[in-house]
Amino acid sequence: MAAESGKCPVGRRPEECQKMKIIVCVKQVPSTQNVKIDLASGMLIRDGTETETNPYDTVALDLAAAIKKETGASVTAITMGPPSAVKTLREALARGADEACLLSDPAFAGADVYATSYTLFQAVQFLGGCDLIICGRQSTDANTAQTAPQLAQRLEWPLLAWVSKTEIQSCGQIRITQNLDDTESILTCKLPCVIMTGSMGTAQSMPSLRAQLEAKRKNIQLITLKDLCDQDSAHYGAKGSRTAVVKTYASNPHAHGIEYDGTVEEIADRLTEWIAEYKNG
Amino acid sequence: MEERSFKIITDPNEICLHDESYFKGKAKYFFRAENKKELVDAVKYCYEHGLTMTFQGSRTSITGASAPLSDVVFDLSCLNHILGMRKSDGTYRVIVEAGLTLGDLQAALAAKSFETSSWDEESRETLRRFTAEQRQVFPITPTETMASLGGMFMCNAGGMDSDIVGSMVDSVEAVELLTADGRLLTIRREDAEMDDGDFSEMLSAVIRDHSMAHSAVIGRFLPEDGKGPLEFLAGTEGVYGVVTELTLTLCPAAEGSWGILAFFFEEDSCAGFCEKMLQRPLAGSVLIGLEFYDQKALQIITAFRKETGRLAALPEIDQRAAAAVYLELAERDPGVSMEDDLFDILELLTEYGVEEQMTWAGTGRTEINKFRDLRHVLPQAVNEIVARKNSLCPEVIKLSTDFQTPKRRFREWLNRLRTDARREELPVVIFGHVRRQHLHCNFLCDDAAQVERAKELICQWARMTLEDGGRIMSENGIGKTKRYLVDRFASEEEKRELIAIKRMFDEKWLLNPGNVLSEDALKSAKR
Repeated sequence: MAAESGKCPVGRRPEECQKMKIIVCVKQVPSTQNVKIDLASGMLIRDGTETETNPYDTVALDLAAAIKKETGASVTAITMGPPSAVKTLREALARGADEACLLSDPAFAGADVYATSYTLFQAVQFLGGCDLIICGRQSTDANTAQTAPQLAQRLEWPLLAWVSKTEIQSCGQIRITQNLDDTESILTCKLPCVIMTGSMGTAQSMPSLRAQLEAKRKNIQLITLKDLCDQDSAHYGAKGSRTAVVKTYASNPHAHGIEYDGTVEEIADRLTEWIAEYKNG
Repeated sequence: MEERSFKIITDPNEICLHDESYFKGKAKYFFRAENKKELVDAVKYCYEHGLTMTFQGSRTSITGASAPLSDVVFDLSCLNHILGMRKSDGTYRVIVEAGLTLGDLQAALAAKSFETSSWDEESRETLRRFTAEQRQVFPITPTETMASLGGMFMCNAGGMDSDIVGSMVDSVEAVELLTADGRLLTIRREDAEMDDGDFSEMLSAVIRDHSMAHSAVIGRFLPEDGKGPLEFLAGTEGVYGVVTELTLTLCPAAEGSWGILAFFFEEDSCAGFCEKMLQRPLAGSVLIGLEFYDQKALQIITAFRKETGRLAALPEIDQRAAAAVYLELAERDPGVSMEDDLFDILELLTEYGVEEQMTWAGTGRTEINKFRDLRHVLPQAVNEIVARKNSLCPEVIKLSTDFQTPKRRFREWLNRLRTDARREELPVVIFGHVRRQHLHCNFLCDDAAQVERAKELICQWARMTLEDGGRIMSENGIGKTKRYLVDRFASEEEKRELIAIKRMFDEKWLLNPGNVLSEDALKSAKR
């Protein structure tokens, strides 16, 4: 595979910087009650399957809407997917995005997270850069949680993960609340940066009827391979991917664990024996 | 019952004595049938020995229909298989056992995934076509997805869209009926001919000889001119026979659909909107459902959400909301725009004081399911409140109205319920279908005195409903907790007819004793 090339500048021109610009990456996923996998290819069966916006991405959209309300920022939602993914972009518009872009091209199909992050990186450049990118923590179909980190890496921007709250500070900084398992951290970071949301929690908003109807009337920009700075199709989709699904199978969780009675020492001895036996097959 | 090798449970703690109504019954034995043969053998045994039997599916009845007052309780929850699939005249049909829940059927249809190891070749071939074609659904969608399909037939359940898609019987093509003496009979929609000649003749005779003008109280238990055998048996709460298998008709999943939940600052504005909405002509849409929630209902949902973590896909309800209405719309014809209708609705909502942020809207099945979940958890949360109150005072049971008063205006009926309950100092939560004023006014009684006052109030409303030509028994059935309405309002002639028919089907009075007719009613009608 040829080296990825065509890194265009992502910095924004001063005249564009009057208004903060946010890009939110969203994804259409099979409805969580309804995920089916083609056992032969290991790929998700998407045809005829009920879809929804990745629930983690609605958290990202809520965060963006909150910043928009606070600062008057503009919000652009982008997604990579087939034409049917327009439905997710309409939902993003109804949830407060001002613009929406669909990255769709046969060359993008079959992308793993590596190729996806590269395509998003190219799209960010095509859109003239931004001040902040917000991604949902992970998608409910692929569940890698790697898109945001890889996108940050490609942009060479800081990544702030597990973000539950944001506050834009006047000095071009963002102050975020990071929710970890049992601690909460407050961090500040200079913009631009990428933030990745935390857990889904409970929904913070639901589109209003008016917002839904207006979203249906808005234009959605289509971005194809020929719009991007790097137009080498080998860097996208299945060709540009670094991973492949070798096999998909139903996991076989242990129905029940092993229970030992006795003192701590006795149990430790028996457990050691069990591990030795297990290792020896 | 030691003569046979049935797995009989006699430990009172293991016998399921109540359902969602919290009517607590009595039984000596509990029997979970692993398969149909076991069930039939056990029923025959009971028939021979004169043991009374109560049949339970998922015990989701809110009227005590599945709470036993019998010797034996039969649990049909293991009879939960999808047995096959057919297609004729362009319609898909699935054959299911009665213990299968609606939710499990819906999930299998949505995923197009079935356990087919016992299916015949025709079913497998049909499944191959089914998998390749547009997604199909079972159109009957009451809010309780845990309900068993057999139970749904036995109370002829319907959903918020029953005006459009009908009730359970409209989507059932055939049933297998288990009689009191343990015979299995197939009853089809199209032909009244059944495998058993005697029974077929008896059923025809019942329909011919006992048909009477529609009764608003126990009409569903009596044959009516023009009703076929299937229509007659639907909604009879297992008093004539018990369904063990059903052939269900499916229909293509609607593609374009919208759900809108709108919150009002005043209940009266909400009622006004509901009336206006029903009169509003729609161009490209069909109004599938129009559901009302009062303030107490919204508070119960909020508390339930907080306690259980359910409904996480929806945001918190604005505490200022005094009432809400849920509208569900489907496109009239594929490709016809619903937009004009939706803008009209938006305008109407604004006219009745609904602010933009006080509406939640979604399109497509996944979004609509979020709203339906909200509708679903409400009766469940109410049932849990009743259960808590029941644990403090055993006299407290689920008491609610299931009346349809088409001649009244929605606003007037709602005001009547509200005013009367306030006058009697009875705590209530009101929600339900706006069409035909089919509101469920649930009483949240704390003590026996309140229960008695609530029953009295329900009787007053029942009288008014009957005088208006409405119905006092609908989708929830009668079971055991609403027998007092039968006692009070069914005519002696109706009761005698019901008893005569019961005797023909179940001469020893073994099936589901206590449902529909109380001991007093039986004695009085027998005189």
